[in-house]
Amino acid sequence: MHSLYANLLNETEKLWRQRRTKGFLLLALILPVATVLLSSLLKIRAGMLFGLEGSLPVAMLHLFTFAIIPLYMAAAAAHSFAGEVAARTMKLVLLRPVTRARAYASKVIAIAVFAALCLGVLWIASTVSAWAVGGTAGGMADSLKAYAASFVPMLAIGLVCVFMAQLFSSGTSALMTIVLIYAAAKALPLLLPQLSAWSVFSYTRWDVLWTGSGAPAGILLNTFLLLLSYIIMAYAAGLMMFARKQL
Amino acid sequence: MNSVLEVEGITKLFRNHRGVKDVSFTASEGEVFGFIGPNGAGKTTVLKIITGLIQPDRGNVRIMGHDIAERFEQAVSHAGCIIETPEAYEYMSARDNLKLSARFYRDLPASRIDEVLEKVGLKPYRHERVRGFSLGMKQRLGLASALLSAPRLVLLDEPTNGLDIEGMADFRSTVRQLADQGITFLISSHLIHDLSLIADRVGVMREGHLISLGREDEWNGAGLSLEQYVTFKLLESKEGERNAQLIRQSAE
Repeated sequence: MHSLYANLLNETEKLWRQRRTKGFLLLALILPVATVLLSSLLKIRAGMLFGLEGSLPVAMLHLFTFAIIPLYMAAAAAHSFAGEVAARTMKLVLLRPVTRARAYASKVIAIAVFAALCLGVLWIASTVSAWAVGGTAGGMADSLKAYAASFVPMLAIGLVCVFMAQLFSSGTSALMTIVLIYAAAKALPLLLPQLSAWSVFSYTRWDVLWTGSGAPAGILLNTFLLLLSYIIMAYAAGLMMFARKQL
Repeated sequence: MNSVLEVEGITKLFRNHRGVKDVSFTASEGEVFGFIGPNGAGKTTVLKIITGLIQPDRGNVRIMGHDIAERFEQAVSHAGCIIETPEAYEYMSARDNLKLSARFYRDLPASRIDEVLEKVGLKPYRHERVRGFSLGMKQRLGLASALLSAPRLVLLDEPTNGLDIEGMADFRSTVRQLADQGITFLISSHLIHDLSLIADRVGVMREGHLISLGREDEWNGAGLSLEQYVTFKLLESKEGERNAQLIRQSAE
């Protein structure tokens, strides 16, 4: 397990050294503050700036889970997999005493760590910002539950990004393609609504089922199992590709 | 002497039908084993199979008795490598690059990073980003990275590429010195002169086959230079005994 931990530290450090990671976390910190300031000036509800309903923490959550976190995970996956193959630095990991399975797991966990960190920073920043202007942050327990629940679809989307990134040998082409596929997958249910039930990309607002009075347990369980299936399938398919990669 | 590396019948065929076929050899403690052959002969493929970058269709590789297919981490923990061009994270300093590699080795003393940087002459540049390094400096950093864990086996693919004359001489003296301390080297190179100065044994590869394994005394004893010996072996394999006889006569 030491090799898993060692490579997790390395992957986390490599992601942290990227400007986009710092920018992404800074955005999670600044956007709620800026939103609160702007909405106070315009005397409108914070979420309305983005056409979103709910308290500031929930409105911010929906903005981030719709676009910003998936975009970051696509970029991180493209960098950690296709980008490292293109830069020939993938060998630096694979020539060390770490199995492919552990190297893959540590890369995936590092991306998930930053997604979770972003959700944490965003929740704190939006809750504190809402309080600071004397407004309401909404039910704190509810918003915390919503943030925790959102991690599940984000993880599923992140793993799908990791799988797709491995189909490319350049980080840029991987990122462009994933973004296009994500946009298409988001738009497709508008034409074919029946597809939304099966697409992992349709569950970015899954948290609404957990807040307020909540959805019936059966629906929660069904949705959770669907997301879990996506997580398992995407992880296994990605691992299989990673294990077979010949450099 | 103990076998540090055992390669048994490794075969790997790519879609273009090139690759390596039934390659077997061993390397003992403290031995400098040179791998020679024309471009495309399969030298790098053998090194990649030994380090697990490529999985063979058939055959086994054991490092210090550990099969890389079954006990990869234990096997590779005894090896240090440069495969093809030495790569590094260009946005990091030389020291930070080695720090990342050092994390994999639990018992590595903190001073080891500066020690290997000193050995390859990069200590004054340790805080500079690799992006600004010349090819020769990257090669030295690759060597430092390969030696970092004090491995029992060091695999080097074209290690003198980009090195100046002084760098090459330093490299040869470092290899010889470490081999005398019991470290085994497997060096793939097309620079026969370089290998002739350090190799105890050479394997000659052609079209994916290991066509010959020879000790230093075999070419020296026959009054041949390593270049003549390798040329002879290649011709022997390619054209048959008739051409080889001509070379032998010309050497005499």
